[in-house]
Amino acid sequence: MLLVENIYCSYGNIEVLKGISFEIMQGQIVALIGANGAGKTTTLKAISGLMPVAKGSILFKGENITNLTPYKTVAKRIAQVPEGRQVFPELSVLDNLLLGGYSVKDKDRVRNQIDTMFRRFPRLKERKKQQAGTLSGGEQQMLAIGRALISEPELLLLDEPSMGLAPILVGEVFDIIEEIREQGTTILLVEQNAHMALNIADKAYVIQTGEIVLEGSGEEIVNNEEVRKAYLAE
Amino acid sequence: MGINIFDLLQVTIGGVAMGCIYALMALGFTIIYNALRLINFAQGDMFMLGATFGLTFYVSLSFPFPLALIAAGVVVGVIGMVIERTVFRPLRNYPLFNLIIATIGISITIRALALLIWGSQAMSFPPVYGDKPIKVGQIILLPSYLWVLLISVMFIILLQLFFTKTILGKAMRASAQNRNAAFLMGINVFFMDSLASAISAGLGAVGGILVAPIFFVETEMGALAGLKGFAAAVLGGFGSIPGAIAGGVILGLAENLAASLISSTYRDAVAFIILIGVLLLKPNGLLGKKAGDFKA
Repeated sequence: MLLVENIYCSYGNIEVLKGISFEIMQGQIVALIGANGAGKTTTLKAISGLMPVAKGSILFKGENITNLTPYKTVAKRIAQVPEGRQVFPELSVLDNLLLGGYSVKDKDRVRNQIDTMFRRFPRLKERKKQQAGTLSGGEQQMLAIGRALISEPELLLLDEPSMGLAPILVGEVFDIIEEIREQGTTILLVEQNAHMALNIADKAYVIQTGEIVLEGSGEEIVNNEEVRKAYLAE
Repeated sequence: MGINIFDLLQVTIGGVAMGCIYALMALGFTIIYNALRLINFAQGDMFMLGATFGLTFYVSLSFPFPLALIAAGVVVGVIGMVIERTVFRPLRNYPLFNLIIATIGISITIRALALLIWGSQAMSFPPVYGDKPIKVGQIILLPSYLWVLLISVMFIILLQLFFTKTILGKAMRASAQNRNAAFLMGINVFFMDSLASAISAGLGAVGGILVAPIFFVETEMGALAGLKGFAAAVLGGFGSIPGAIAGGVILGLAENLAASLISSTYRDAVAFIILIGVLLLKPNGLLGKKAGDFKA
């Protein structure tokens, strides 16, 4: 479904991605794990067009989407939940969701999707008139995920969805991720919480200073000696 | 010298009317600041262009006044859009200082061009609002200020409706709050920048043509209006839309009260006393966010 081939990205003179390649099959959850600053977020930004790709290519369902203008990726049915949630703090919960459907021409479908999100996240419905910035961290994460799902993406890019959440909420978020996959959305999951991510991932890639150093099924990676030492703190 | 309640009421209405013009200017500063994080010192010249284009449309081309007003707003709005596209966008990733200097350059260029087109003579705008005073009981009101008040309030309400009720307005606010997240929603943030610049310029122009029948029209008239709009935006809290409106109205009122209670010589000083006072005592303004939200 998504084929990332040998991409290079730099911030100024600093090369952060040095030839990343990986593949995501339809219906999979693929995890990208690695330390802070390894290039995980940059990889997601490269896919969604927020980060210019200097070399290499990104194919989505056979179509070249390398360096697509960022606001055009969502129309290709790729949605991203950015790191740190990034809801629009001074807009209401409802307006945040409405903007999730900004690229969708059929506004009835947007309304239906919003209703679906309100059923899935009843707390958001209770707070639909509230400014998003006043929600708790967990609620903001639900809103960020809900907002990304309004456009009914085929591929969902999740950047550190567990960041800064209480352990009980982390479990909830991972349940939701599996639920989203069951409903047919393919997921690329970037996580520092490697344990949780590897438990639900069909396939995982370990990224280290801008390079993929290891790949395998979630299970293989979890049982890899070096990974256990480096990322699972065992 | 005494002042009775009726005089005070007239002074108040005149002050609020001028205050609404400052509010339009302050909104211009605010909207472009929220979108592009820059202080546009050419905002005053949009005011001037509104008046000069308005004069051309109304007098030379004999447009009816409402049409001249809308045409001036649209033409200057397009100029604002062109400035964003040709100057602000290419400079986007440069330090803020460069951008602000660029706005001063734009201001000087526009004034020079306006001088070539309209000349250096002050021109008078025909008295479109009529000059028959309106008597309400014992209060005598000048129709010009009432019209200015009415029309500018209407524009402020329309703007509020645009920002709170339309998806485009919400998308503009979203882009101002978080650019990258807005991109991820599929919002063409670049277009939102252009639109913000156009709306700011258009609001300035509307202010300019509205007061043109009260004052003279000349190519230097934007400087003071721009500074007062800036002072109003600072007073309200830079970046806040309700703040810009409140700041404008308070400034207009304070000016008019000072002019009638103390001396009209000090009218223009009031804005700058307020500006300095706010910056010294409450730098975030009345409704502004906490300091340090100057996102790079």
